[in-house]
Amino acid sequence: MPALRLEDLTCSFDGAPPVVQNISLDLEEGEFFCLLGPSGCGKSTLLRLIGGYLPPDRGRVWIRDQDMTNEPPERRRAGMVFQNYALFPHLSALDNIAFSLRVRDVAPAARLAKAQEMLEWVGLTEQEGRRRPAQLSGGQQQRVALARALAFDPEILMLDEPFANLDRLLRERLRDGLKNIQRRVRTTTILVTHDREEALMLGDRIAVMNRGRLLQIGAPEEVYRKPRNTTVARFLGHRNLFRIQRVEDNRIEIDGSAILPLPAGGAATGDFLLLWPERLRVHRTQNAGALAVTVSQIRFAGGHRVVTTKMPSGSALEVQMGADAPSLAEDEALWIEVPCEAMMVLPGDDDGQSSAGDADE
Amino acid sequence: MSNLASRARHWIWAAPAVVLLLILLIWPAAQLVRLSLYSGGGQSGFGIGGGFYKPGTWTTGAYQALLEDRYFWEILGFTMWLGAVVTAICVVLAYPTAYWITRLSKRWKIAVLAAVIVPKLSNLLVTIYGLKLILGDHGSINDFLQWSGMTSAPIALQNSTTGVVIGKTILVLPYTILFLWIGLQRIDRTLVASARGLGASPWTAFMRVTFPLSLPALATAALVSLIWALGAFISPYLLGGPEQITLAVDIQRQFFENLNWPRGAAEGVAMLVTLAILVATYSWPHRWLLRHYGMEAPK
Repeated sequence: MPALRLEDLTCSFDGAPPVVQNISLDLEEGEFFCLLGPSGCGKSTLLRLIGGYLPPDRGRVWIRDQDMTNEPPERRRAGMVFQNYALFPHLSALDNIAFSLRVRDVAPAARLAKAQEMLEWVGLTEQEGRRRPAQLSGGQQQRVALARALAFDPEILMLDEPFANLDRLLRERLRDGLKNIQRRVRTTTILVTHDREEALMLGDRIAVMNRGRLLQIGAPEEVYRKPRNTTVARFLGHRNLFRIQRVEDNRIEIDGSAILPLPAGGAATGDFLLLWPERLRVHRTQNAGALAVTVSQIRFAGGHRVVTTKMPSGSALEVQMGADAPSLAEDEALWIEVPCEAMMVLPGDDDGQSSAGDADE
Repeated sequence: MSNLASRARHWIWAAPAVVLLLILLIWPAAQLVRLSLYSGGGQSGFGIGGGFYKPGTWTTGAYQALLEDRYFWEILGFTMWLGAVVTAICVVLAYPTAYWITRLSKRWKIAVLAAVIVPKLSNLLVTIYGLKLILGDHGSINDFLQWSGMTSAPIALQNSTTGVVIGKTILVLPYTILFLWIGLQRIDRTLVASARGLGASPWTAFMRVTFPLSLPALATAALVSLIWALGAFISPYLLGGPEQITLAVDIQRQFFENLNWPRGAAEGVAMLVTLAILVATYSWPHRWLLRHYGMEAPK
């Protein structure tokens, strides 16, 4: 029995097209599951459906072997960290954490002990535990919210964009902290985010969601390396996507005039070609069969450099180069060799429209 | 210097309000105090030369008369009692109403809030006379009670304390609802969702989250209602009988029936002092409530 099972879940508001459409999903015990999608794709709504804050139009929610579809939130044993944390402003951090035990009539000594333990787990001091939420920093509030959601040993932990309101440095620290805590408590976790890096780093499995549907579910590397279509590819930050315009013998044509060898596995007109920027080979002198481009932008990214080049048609092609590769100048002419392993063929969007643009921050 | 100048500039924004307060509140209040310190019984009448007091005199006689007059204490007592009862009824009626409004859809919310405010836009006398029609011996309530056999004779719904309480409650209630609604709708709804997710039933979530967070608003709404109810004039005047005299009604009588202006003014001052004490005392528990149940950081 999975820890959480969603069966054909559909939800809409006021007759508008469904925000969540036919979602079926099984979460294994102890799994860390990340739901990645742009804002408005229905991922927060999905959490609210799981938590029981919203009734579905159709479908069922199972938590372990219990059908929870018609149960109120308090019966579901699903801890939730809201995006704004939703800490009780009139209670101290410690009382916030102990709230779930207080409403379950746990004896004062026992609930204090548990709350203290949780406080320690998330790395807050006793003194900070006595403070009101308003007296705590954003990062501390987030940790109180996490401790509160875990204090009653829930079956499921849900996190709605828990790092959205934090600065980058803190976000990275708390992200590692969350992963560690989840490893220790082994609570089945479902995290919702629009940040692909977050999803890829945290999830045992991730799902890409768009317009209320799950487009692809899989291990982070699998989804990253084998996106099912261009929408998923764009969500994961892949920019080198070109429509295949012609397939002839052993060659394909992309972007007006660029001719490339036929990738292994074949291709059809209308498919898309994804070029891995780190697998492209850059030459500064003319090279037979290589694509002639000019450098339009060079971005330093710490361990590597991302070079945006311009193809003759004007389309951009990104290449990743090591930080110690010879430096390039803007407008410099380059020849880019495309080895077989740098190419992947994938089908276009399900609906033929590109709606993934908002996935780029 | 520039700091001082900028502070002065800052105060310019308050100038219209300050001028208005001086002309419409401070100056009349000062005149009221002066009036209460004349000796009574003047003959000058309305118009030229002043009113019913002896010009040029300075005495605390009006206040001494007040303190010794059992009748005054009874009136003050009734006024306070009425204020407390009306406030209590208003708060009890307004809280569920205001809470209900916060949970309505946007369209219904606007409709219901409009329904709450509209009676306050109609003429006060129209409201009260309308009420007299309903509360009278042959009004719809008594008709219904007798028709249904619950009573055999009309019960005194007007010219009685009941009438005054009903009338004043109807006049004050919209304010109580509005003040409570403002406070309740500021409470983040995800807090309740959060409480539910943590295992609280709807009732527990209300008692442990919504209600405590609404206490500062409840206190404010109660104070506003009390101030309004203490000034009761029209309701006791038109819906009460000879027993239901409030301070405001008596002030009017002292001025226009007894022609004892210093006495009326002294009663007015007594009323102002009572309200001032109330507001000053209120700020103490209110600050405590804000510190414990406020939504902002405690200062």
